[in-house]
Amino acid sequence: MCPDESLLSAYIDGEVPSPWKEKLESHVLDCPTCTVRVSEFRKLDARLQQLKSPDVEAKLAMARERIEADLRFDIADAEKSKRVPVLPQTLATGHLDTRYERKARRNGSRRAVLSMPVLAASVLVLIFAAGLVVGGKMLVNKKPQSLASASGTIQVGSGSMDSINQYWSSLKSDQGVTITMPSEVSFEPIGDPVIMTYNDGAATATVVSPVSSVPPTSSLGSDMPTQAPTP
Amino acid sequence: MPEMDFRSIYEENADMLLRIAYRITNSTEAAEDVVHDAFGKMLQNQMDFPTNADAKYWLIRVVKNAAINYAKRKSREAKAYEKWWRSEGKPVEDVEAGSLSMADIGSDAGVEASAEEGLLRRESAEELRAALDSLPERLKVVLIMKEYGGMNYKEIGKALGISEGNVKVRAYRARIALLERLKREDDTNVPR
Repeated sequence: MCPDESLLSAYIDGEVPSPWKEKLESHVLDCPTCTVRVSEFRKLDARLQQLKSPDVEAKLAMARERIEADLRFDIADAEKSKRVPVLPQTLATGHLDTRYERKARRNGSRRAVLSMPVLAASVLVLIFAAGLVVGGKMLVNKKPQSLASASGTIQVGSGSMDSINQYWSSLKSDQGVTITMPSEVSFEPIGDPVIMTYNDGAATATVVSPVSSVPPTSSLGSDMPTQAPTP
Repeated sequence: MPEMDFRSIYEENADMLLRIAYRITNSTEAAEDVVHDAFGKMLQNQMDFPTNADAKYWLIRVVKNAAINYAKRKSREAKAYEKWWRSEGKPVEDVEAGSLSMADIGSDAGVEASAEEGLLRRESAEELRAALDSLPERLKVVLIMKEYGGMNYKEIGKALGISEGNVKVRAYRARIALLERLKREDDTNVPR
């Protein structure tokens, strides 16, 4: 009687212990059916082994090196920073390489890793530099407005709002205006300061009011510039 | 987990895991990704195992599951492309011809063979790989772990959480199924 065929498969895999192994071998030698089956299994195994190609093995070896290098690289970083002495960077930062990052590295690029202090300093420098650039642009944009304002300085008497409004109307909509109170005259506030906006359709002005030109008792409000952007 | 333990676990298992992952995914890049992810997960979660063997079985399970998920996703994508290709009224053979990378299929460097022999061998390797891919997952994984992971029944059983007897039966059924598929393929290729 032939043994269960799964035993023949196990025999091929070297998983049949003595003394059953020897008994099985003895039977297979005398049984054409089992001989054919064992032969089929062996040929199949040989074909499966032939699927291993040097090309694939080389690629897998490279993959192994990349993974190892990455893990060691992380461990070295962690040791340098002395934060987590025996654990890799992935633990310290919670960062695990994404597949995208690994793909980029497979294609030749290398991940740049900065320690936290260096990274923080870099971010501060970047923010400062960005502030300089943005601030510089703003200054550049404001210069023409200051010049326009300076070149368009008019002097008006006390309570002469009509002349101020005429001046607004002559301005372009993107020009800013600075209103400066006379420095030689002291103002006394009457009630709470109120922001008033003039809008006659062509331009808008904002002034601080109310103030009264009276003999100097207080210097409050003197030389107070008020900038009012026109729409 | 101390660094030395991790290193030894990596040294002992990386090759085996890569081979298993590659045979399931048929892609060296995907194999690298799933193995890297498995080790990364182990580190990130600061996993602690009683022995290195326990770590090994955990890694095998994680890699196996991730590789199977990858293979399933790729299979679904391939079916979607195939469906679209058919809807265009084009023969499906054109899709299949480009679906397998010749470089990845048993082309032994250094072996001089005629062009015809090389073609036959590649076709044979393609057939075998297609037959292996078509096996039910629970059978295929056992055979891959045995043939390409170099694992014995006991190790496979521990990794998959099944008995050694079950591994033996699955390995046998996988072989029989593979032989049947290859025989069917041979029969359809015989000129009439």
